[in-house]
Amino acid sequence: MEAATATLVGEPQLATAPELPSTSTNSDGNASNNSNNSGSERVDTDNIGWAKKPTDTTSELRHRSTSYSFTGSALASGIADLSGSAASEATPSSPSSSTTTTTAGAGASTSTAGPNNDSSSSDKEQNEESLYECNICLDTAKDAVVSMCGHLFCWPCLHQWLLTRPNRKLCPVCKAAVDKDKVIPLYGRNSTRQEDPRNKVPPRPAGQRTEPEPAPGFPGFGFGDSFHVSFGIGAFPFGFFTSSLNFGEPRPAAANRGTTQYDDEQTLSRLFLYLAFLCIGWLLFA
Amino acid sequence: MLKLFKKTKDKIPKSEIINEPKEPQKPAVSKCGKPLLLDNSRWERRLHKELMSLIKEPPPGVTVDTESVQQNLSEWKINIKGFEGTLYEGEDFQLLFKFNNKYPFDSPEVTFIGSNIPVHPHVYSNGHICLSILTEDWSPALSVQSVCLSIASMLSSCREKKRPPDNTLYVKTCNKNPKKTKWWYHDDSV
Repeated sequence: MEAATATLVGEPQLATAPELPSTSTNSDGNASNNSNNSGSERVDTDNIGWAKKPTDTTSELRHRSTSYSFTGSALASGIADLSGSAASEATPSSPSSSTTTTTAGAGASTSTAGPNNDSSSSDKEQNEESLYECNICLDTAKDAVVSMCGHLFCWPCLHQWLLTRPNRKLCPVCKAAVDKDKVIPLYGRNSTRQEDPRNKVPPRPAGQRTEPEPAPGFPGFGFGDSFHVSFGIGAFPFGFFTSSLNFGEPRPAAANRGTTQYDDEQTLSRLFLYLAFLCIGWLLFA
Repeated sequence: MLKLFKKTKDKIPKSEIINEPKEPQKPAVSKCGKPLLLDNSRWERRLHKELMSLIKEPPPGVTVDTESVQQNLSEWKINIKGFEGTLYEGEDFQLLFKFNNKYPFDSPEVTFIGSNIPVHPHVYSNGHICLSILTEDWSPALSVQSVCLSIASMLSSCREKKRPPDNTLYVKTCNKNPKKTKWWYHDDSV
């Protein structure tokens, strides 16, 4: 017993894997625990780190607990172990073994449910995975960001979407307003690069300010959003200035390159150019 | 080259139609050199995932023609049944989904095909559908499944079987691609 604990004391610096044989030597030394150990062995398959705890001495447990990561169901049993070990610390050594074995038994009982669930556990995993899927590519979110409305995306996907509709930056899921500055990057524990994913994608194109859109009134007589025609006969001499030089109300920003709106605008502007040439030609030659 | 039709009749779908000059197929990269889409593998992966979920857990009355999909991942044929208790009970329709390489950032092209095209105030006799989520209200979080569901619900909520009032004119003049039509959405009742 003493030899076994001595080897264990030296170990906290090592990784979790090497400790497995050493604890087994400990259990071999502890003849009274042998029957229960078979139960605790079963726990190993589920959550190696915590199942081994009860056989360790309590002082090491404190050292080690810092190096463990808590994952899923292991967390619950781990807390039970810790409370059990705290109780054992207060009591003399011989009862401590019994208390720890009871907690080990509890751990075993939770883990015995595991094998039964094996078939469904893969489904469960899939479900859990799908909780963290990007809403755009439907894959597990990479360089994850979350919008203010709580929806998860890969940053490259969301960035792409914001580029596609520069004038209407809406959350794909709930249509709330989203923007580069209104999303929060998510860093998991194992993400080695704690780098803001928003910096990875090529920097945004030059900032463009869009005026709040006027209330959508009469929808007719226009091509899309950016072009409107008005008809009227008037002798008001400043009509030309007021209609063609818009002082009060700036025109909406030009569409980004690559979007369909941009293409539309290009064809339109070309058409009007030809029209202008025609008019000039007609004036000159007629 | 460029036609503009205006109609001011009653309150059922009207459409402004623009037949754009045919442009050469654009490369998938925008002019400033940035890729405009998920790279190919991810685009395919998303379609695969959608296909799997549609086969595994199809919405009621919706089945995928897996043969058509196996031939070409970017064109899906989907059969849709008229729900019981609606005007379309017992009828079968077929939808054609065409995905371009900008999917899911760009909406799929969805039309009714086959011999039976539903008589519905938002469905033209050439199969084009007047539905806002298929153009301007599209969002990449939508999927084939949700589009099917929307179309099914659109059919189900219909009270009177009739074609859109501007059907003949539209069918004569429209582009083959319904996405080239400038739809004018204003009737939320059906």
